[in-house]
Amino acid sequence: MKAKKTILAVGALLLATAAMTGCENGGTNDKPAAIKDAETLTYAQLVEKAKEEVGNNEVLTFGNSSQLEKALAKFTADTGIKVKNTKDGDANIYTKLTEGFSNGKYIADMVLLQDGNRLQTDMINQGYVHSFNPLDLKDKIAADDKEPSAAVYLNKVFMYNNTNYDGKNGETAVAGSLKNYMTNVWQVAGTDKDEGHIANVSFKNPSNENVNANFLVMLTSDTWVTKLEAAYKDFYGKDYVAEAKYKNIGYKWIAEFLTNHLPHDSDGTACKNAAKGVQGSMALVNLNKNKDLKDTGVAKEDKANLSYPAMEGEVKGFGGFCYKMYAMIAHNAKYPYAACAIANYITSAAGYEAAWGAKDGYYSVNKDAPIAKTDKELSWWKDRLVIEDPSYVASNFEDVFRFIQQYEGK
Amino acid sequence: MDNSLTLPKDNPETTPPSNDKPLTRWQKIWNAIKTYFSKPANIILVIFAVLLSITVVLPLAYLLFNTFQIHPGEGSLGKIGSLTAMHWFRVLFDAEYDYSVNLFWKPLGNSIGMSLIACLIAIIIGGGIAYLITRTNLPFKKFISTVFVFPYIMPSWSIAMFWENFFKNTSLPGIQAQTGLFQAMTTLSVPSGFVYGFWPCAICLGIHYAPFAYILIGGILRNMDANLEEAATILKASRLKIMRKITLPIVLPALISTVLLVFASSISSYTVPMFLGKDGFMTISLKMRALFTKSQTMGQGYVVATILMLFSFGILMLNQFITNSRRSFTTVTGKSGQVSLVRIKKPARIILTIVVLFYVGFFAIFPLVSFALESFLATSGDYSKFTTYYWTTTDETNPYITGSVGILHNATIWNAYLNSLLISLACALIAGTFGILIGYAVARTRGKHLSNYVSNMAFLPYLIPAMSFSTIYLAVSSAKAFSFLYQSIFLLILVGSIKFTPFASRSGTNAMLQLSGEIEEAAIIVGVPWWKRMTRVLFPIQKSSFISGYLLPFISCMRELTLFVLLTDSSLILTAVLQNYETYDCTQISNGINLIIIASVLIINLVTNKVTGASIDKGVGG
Repeated sequence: MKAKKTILAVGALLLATAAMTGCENGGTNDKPAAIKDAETLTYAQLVEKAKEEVGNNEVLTFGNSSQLEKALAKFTADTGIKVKNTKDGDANIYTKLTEGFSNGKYIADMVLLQDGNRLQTDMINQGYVHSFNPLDLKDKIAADDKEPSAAVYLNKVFMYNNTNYDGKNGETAVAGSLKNYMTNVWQVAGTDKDEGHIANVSFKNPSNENVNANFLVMLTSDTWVTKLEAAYKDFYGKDYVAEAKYKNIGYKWIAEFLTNHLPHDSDGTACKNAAKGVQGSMALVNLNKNKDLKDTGVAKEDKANLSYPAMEGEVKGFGGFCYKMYAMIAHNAKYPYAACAIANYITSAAGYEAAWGAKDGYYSVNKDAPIAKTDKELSWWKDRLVIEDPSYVASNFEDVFRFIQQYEGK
Repeated sequence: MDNSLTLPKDNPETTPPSNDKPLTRWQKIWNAIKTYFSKPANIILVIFAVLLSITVVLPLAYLLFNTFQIHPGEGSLGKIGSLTAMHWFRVLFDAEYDYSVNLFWKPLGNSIGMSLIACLIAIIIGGGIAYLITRTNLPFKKFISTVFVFPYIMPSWSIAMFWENFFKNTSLPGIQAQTGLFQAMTTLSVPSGFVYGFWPCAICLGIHYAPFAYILIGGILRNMDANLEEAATILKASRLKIMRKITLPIVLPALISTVLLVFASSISSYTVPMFLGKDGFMTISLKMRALFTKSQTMGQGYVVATILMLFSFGILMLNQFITNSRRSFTTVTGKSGQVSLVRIKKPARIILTIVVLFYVGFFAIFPLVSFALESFLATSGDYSKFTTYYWTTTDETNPYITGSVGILHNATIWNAYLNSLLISLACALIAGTFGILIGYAVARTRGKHLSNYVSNMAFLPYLIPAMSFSTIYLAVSSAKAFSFLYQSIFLLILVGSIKFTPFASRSGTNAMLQLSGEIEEAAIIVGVPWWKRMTRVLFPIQKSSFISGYLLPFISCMRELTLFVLLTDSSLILTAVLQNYETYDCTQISNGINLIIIASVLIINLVTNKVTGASIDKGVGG
């Protein structure tokens, strides 16, 4: 009797909880008319509409990027439209947006998000956000960046210590003594029995860094399976023969790479450690992390101590990967025209310059936007790096995530 | 002079009618209710039973409900929003890719082992030093006592970071091959397993939580009536026997409380294994976090959180069982309370003093100094050039952070600092007062069902992972009915107060359990009203414990991040600002912010000590 009462009580409590916190689902996949209309307006027209719409109120945005705040400050200075941004880590932003949107609450007009998997799964598939493609920029943005609408690319590339520093000869060691260290992506997989094998590549665990997990998922797609097979043949001198324990060669590379990798907790620190470490120390981290390196010499955090295989010559397979920041408009935006105007602005060359500027490792989807002199153009990188495809990642994430648990820790 | 005791007059409202007419059933019930509520302890119990049921049971139900719900990314399991048992299956029994073993069982084993070792280290170091400080003639007691709690005031990752920087060496693989302080000083390289992995994680957590043991055990030892030990000495009991038969049983509740607090904190610790798990060491907290941040594994994240909570709940039950048994833990009786010190003879005393001073110097002062120094380095990690630039400049120090001027001119930092201070003070005030009231009510009605319920409910928030705790309050504040709470400081204060009540309720309950009932009874006999008994009799006697009950939530709140980030804008509180600077590798400014947090806590502790005579090191529990 007592047990029955307890079960009933727990059941009632769970139902009450479900009622309180259950999803109302505040979105649909139909793009609101205002966004469709905004796509027919020039930036100047959009700003005029936005001014009328917002008046003296504030437009709400979400983003994990500090640079966004710079762009918004400039946007406000130029247009007079006030914007309030919520800056947070990706995971927190998705939680906040999901809770808000699912309760039908107005919490954001525009969002700048990364992590294609969560964007697709938690936002686009639920109809909470929509793409916006500015009229002014329709010829300046590649087709694959329009749906979902990307604004900025970031890349993570293999980088290695090119000095002859061995941990003791700091006074005499010089930079640039190691060249073309990595020419095939199978060098960082396999085992130390393979000629040219590179051990202990530093990489943030995919469990802790979603964009890293998304990169691994992409390797199981047909495109990358083909490229990995070609690289395998080049490295081992024979065709890859399917193995029962791997669904395809992408899974094999993931398994071997994760077995070979050293986890780190910060890409910035890993980049610095690679620069001041011993010869051949290698990491797969954001290229933009080299911003903190200075001209301080060997065994120190010096830019000259690092080489990037993808920039040295051809790396069979790939030289790293790219992920994107997507500028999306909320389905229940209170100020949709203003949201579109902001998205338009940060995608424009002027907006990009105000926020990100010409710095290593950042690339606007707008081909007119500036690039760092020491860096390459986005189209150049697109040929050499694995590009995140939200739709593919979202569909295949679960299986790959389950698979990588075998190799990620001990 | 009439020394006879005057009994207080009967309260006409609570005295049953004296006529002979038999009472009706309703009159009997009404009288029973009146009698029940005539005791302040019962009123407090009922109020907190209702309050905690709403604020604690709801998150628990939410947690449990989500272990069965299909979330947006889990569409492969069925219709989104419907219920499934697959999350539990995946976590516990899924054999494909050895998923359950790799995701759950292996990391769980690692975490339990790590937490148990951390408990052992905390008890040996914290309890040992508590004994040396309170019961022996060790010199420099005041200094050691003050400094020993620093590692708890510092964020746990700072000790982990210090450990890594000290022991890393060039024999480590890949980019980990860096010269650390120890290698620079001695040219020796410690093995990888001593820099990263299971043991360093357990040791750092043990060191971080040793102040718990020190505070809890020290509080009891400090107040313990020496008559008990003296009586045993007169009866010619050996030192060991006295320790085994008298001292240990008296500190047992504190010992169990320490295990409970350290185990629950260690098993859910994220930052320490994140820093020191670079050899691939994986814990359940790392996995839980990973599950919560992926669309496809949310439900599994809730399952792991629930299981972790159940583990800690088991220890809580053990604690309950031990403190609820008929034995008494009273140490403050109103009779003689003088303490006779164990006299350690000279060579041993000098050696012990050196060891203890080395320990506090190494783990409490050295990391603090390193924070301060780091904030003055021109280049992070390079100790050859110092500058005040990161404190004084009016130029932006980082191109990626708007307004990233020097700390002294940085409006974002100081606004966030004031907010953090305000929130922490409010939370401390509320949680501390709750703790005293709960402690009083629980101690006065010990063993009753409602008393156990309130006691457990007040402790449960400690066991609910901060992330899930804040998620439910985010969900509630996003609902239309409660939208006035959304992103408000009031919501932060509410959540902080509930989440940190366990510290205060532990301290309040332990302190009240130590107080003999006869002290309050004496006041009752002379007709002193309840609030005066609390403020004039009970509070002054156990002042240090109660004030610790205010200080612990304050400290925890000042350095809390996970609990608050979901509920507010990220620049509102100082820890969020610190995280932002860390994300962009502004090491000097983030170290400076860390220093501000620690210094503020230390100053508040010091001022409290000067004004009230109480301080955090004086003890929870007495």
